[in-house]
Amino acid sequence: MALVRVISSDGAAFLVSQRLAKRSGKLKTEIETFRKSSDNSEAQPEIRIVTIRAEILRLVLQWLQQHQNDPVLPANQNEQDGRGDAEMGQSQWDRDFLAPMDLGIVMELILAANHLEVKGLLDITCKLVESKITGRTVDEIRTAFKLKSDFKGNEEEQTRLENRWCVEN
Amino acid sequence: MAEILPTNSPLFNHLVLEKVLNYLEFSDLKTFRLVCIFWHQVSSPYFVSQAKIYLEGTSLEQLVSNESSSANSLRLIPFEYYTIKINSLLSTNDGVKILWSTIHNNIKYLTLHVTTVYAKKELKWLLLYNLPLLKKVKIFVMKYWGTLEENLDNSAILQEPGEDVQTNSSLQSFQLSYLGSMSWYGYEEGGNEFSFPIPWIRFFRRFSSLSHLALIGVAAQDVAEMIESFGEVAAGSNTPLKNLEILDENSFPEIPNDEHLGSLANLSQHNHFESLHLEISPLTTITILSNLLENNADTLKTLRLRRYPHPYLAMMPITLAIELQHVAFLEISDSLTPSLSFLPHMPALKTLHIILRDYRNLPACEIIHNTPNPQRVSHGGVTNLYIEPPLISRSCIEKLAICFPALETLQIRLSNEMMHELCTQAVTWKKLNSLHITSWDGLTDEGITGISCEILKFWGGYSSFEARKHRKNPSIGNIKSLTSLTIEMWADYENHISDWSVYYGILDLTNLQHVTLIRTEISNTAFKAIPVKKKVLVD
Repeated sequence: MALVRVISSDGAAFLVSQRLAKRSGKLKTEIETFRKSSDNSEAQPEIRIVTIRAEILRLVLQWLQQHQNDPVLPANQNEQDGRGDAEMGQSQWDRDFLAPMDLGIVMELILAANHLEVKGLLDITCKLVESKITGRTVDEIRTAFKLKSDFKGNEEEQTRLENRWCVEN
Repeated sequence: MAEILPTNSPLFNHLVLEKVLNYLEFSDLKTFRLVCIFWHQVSSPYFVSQAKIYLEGTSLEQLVSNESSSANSLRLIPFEYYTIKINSLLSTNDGVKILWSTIHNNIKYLTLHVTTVYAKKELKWLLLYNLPLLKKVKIFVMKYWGTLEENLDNSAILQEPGEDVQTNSSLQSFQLSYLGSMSWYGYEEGGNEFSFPIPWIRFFRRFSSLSHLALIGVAAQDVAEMIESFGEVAAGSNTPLKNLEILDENSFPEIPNDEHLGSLANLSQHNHFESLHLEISPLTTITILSNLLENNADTLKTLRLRRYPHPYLAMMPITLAIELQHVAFLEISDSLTPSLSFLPHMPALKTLHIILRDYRNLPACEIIHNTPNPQRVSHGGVTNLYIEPPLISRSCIEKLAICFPALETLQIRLSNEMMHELCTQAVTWKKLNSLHITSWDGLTDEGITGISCEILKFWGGYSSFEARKHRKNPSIGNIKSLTSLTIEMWADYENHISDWSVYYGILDLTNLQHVTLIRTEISNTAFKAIPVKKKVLVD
């Protein structure tokens, strides 16, 4: 089985099958580039992901492992509205996978899924964050994401006024 | 608002937040931008692209109040879409200046509602004020039905912007609808008290890039002046105005009259239109209409003719013995043509819409039924067909298949009997990929599945094999080419479909990608079973 070494920003190395790695658009491109530039067809590619730390990379690879037999979603699927259909691909395993995660980790996963071009993971993580915002008040969202208001003077009041004037186009 | 630079935290990462924004509904987007300054700034472009500023009453008062910071806010955020309902406020102080000066650097699309009392002054200001980015304007002038208090309307004291008004080369589309003088069957309510606020010649010279002009329900005199002025401008130079709509909302339309059509025909000798949308009245002289169309035959690509059915002023069907070589889109009222044989020869026709004008009742449309030899009127090139009125059931679908063999999209009202015919015609319509069905005169599971309702009730809950074995008619599953399906039910005791339509019909459509079910009784379980990416269930 052909393997590839994927190294995180903090130096942790993960040895995974090339078949599994190629389910990430980014890793697939990197492997193919390595193949073209390498004289030795048996050489094991090594890919450094300088933007993703080990904890997050491990989660991405874990998700890919679970979904290795799913059909690959094209990167431009539902490009018109910029969103995929997370409900279609979300299994009980996905829900259990995301359930214990802190929202900060989920948002790091979004960044990683986007960088590594893993469409299915991007969809379910974005959907999870969306569910923490949909139908909630501003204070509830600030509590959920541990954020504080940093508006100055009447800026927040002004934004509320604009909101009152705005309707969906 | 101070600019916040992104940090390493994913909560303050543009990329992450922009991905999440794609998933938010507009109401949640409003909350999102209130969380903190960074989220506000990241979401602003999304918000602005989806939002329309709606100003009326109190909000308009707040905006034009000099003490409010609202005006500053609107100046800073580049909102492009505005809907404004003007009341007396703007006319009684300098509000009009504040309004346009506040938004003039951003506004691109404007829908303006204004009552007749203030319309003339307000529109004059709108038309003369320099709104450099304005692309599209829709104005609805409504009759003022209330009683005026003394001195309420002192708009006359406002100073005009002056005669030295710059040319505006951004405006491409202008629509003016006068909704003040509705008449029914000749009874006129109030009369037309509105007239266009500036000379039309000045309008055309100011908006030199206008490509689309729509006048709906305006006075006949205004239409005549518009055509005369446009003729003057068009005679001197090439104008981009190629799309013209002249319509009336009354059952006895006053515009366009023969004089208008004749003038348009004359000016079409040197300015050709690409799109015409006209109201036809029983008094229209068809030879004048023919002249107009003939003079534009080399350029006309879209033709829309409509007519309100009149109870006692019968109108002969229009017969246009001309060839419109380039018309690809035709929309025509059902009351204008008795059969497909009466349509002009249009070899390039791709899209045909047969529409209703009177929604108060739905008499069966006889256009297809009355077409004697469908083989002889074949519109082989038509790929998109929309028939808004209900058809007579008998053999209409079969005739449609002969007349329009190359259909790709079809929107139609169907009963069970017609649904069965449609499923049979799947053999002819091999490229039919989009179907929008509206229920009519009894559309049930029997129509969609081809299995009688009795069998479905008896076998449905136990064995799909048994139910399918007793299928008497073809099911919607026969139309294998379908990729998009919309079923719109007007649910009553005659029209109702349920989960059986999904299990014994829709699930057999293996190429389906989009499903929209409107006012059906399909359960969430059955709906979830439809294996397509894009599906919508509307109550």
